[in-house]
Amino acid sequence: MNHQLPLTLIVLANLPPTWGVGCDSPVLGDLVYEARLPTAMIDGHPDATASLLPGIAAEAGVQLLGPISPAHELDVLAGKLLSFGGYKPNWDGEQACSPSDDGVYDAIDFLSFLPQGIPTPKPMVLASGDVALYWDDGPLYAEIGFDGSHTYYAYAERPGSAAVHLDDEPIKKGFPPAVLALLGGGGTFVERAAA
Amino acid sequence: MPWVFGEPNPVTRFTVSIEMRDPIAPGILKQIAEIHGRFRQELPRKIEQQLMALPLPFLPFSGPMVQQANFPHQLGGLVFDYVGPTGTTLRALNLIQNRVIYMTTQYNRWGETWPLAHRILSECGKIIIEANAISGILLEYQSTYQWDDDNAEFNLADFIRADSDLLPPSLIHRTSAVHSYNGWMERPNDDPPAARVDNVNVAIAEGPNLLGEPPTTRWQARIAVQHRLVFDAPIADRQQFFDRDADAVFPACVDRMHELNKNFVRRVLADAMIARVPGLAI
Repeated sequence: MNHQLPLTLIVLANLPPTWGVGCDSPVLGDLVYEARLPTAMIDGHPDATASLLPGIAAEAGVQLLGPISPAHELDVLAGKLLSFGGYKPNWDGEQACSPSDDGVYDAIDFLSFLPQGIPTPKPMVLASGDVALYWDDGPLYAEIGFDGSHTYYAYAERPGSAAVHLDDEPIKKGFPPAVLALLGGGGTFVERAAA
Repeated sequence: MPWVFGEPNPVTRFTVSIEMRDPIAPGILKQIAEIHGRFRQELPRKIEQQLMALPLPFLPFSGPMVQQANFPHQLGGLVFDYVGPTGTTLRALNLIQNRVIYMTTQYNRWGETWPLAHRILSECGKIIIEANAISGILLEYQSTYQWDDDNAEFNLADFIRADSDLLPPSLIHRTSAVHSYNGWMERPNDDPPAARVDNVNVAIAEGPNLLGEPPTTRWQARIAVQHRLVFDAPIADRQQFFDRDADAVFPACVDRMHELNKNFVRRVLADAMIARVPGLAI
């Protein structure tokens, strides 16, 4: 008997935290708004993942619906990025440009490429109007910025490593490996699952 | 009046959705992902939910040789949303399984909320209906009220209608946690022929404190009124469902459910409360 790959696992990301439980519907079956589960249930220790599964252990081949959400920190980060859309020209009192909608949207899009296992970046707006994510941890500094052209620039430095300078990288290219190496992350869930 | 609610009205979540006969196919989800630009200003973030096949080596029935280099995955769902600076979802569109669900936690008034929900659901629904008939519509309001007085004085007399036909008569006399969940099915005399499931759920519980208040527990009332219309025959005609302005099935049915919803809330709340809720007084 081949026990290999017996299950199909539906991994669904990020239902809103306020997506609560709806009313049960008599006779015609329940309307179920899927619950929000913490990322750790899949992306953490295998034992934690197994806690999702006892109900299906006897039903190899069943489809398991597991809505997996990114950390709340990422929701907060996305919310702060979106709030930059309200910045007006001269928002700093020193003639700074306001961020473009596309700059904000590009930063939002880029969040889907953030690898697991690295600290959550902080958001900022530059005087140029670029929107950026940055990590500032003592000697380590990394910054990835967006000007609304669907590309990003990246700068990172850490003592003992060569500094990283990238420009005009397409966002679809994903998180820059050179910056990831300095941050010490371990790849996305998909990448690690496939490794 | 010791019962209070947030501005501008007590609605804390509004949900409207369309239900398809079959699960939404990955190819259709991909098409919808590509039209994000049509409503990106309202729902700027897009999250593509991947459907993956994974080996589960840690389960007892899994064999030892389960390492695979590549796991097949495809688009299994979509979320488009707008989150506030604290990470709270303010509005969202979720395509999952056989449902397209729009929700907002920032309900202002029907004349502002419904046009946006209608437009976004129609943008997606018009793509889906070409390959997948629509089997139902759902509308739900959740409202939240807080007791703003000494907890020792807590009572429901000024809140619940004494002669409500949707609640058990004993509920109004409760002075502690209580809930009444009431659902039933009817066949409305409307087109298209359908069954409608109505739910009126009232829950009284000790709720969280309001933001900025000292950490004392407050009594909270949550009222959820939901209507789910299930068509006798799923609708595959895009014009019939979406494209005939106010006469199209979608807006006509939702408008009826919206009015029905207000009517049910009036049959739950005391007159003094009805008078205070915008849009509820007749």
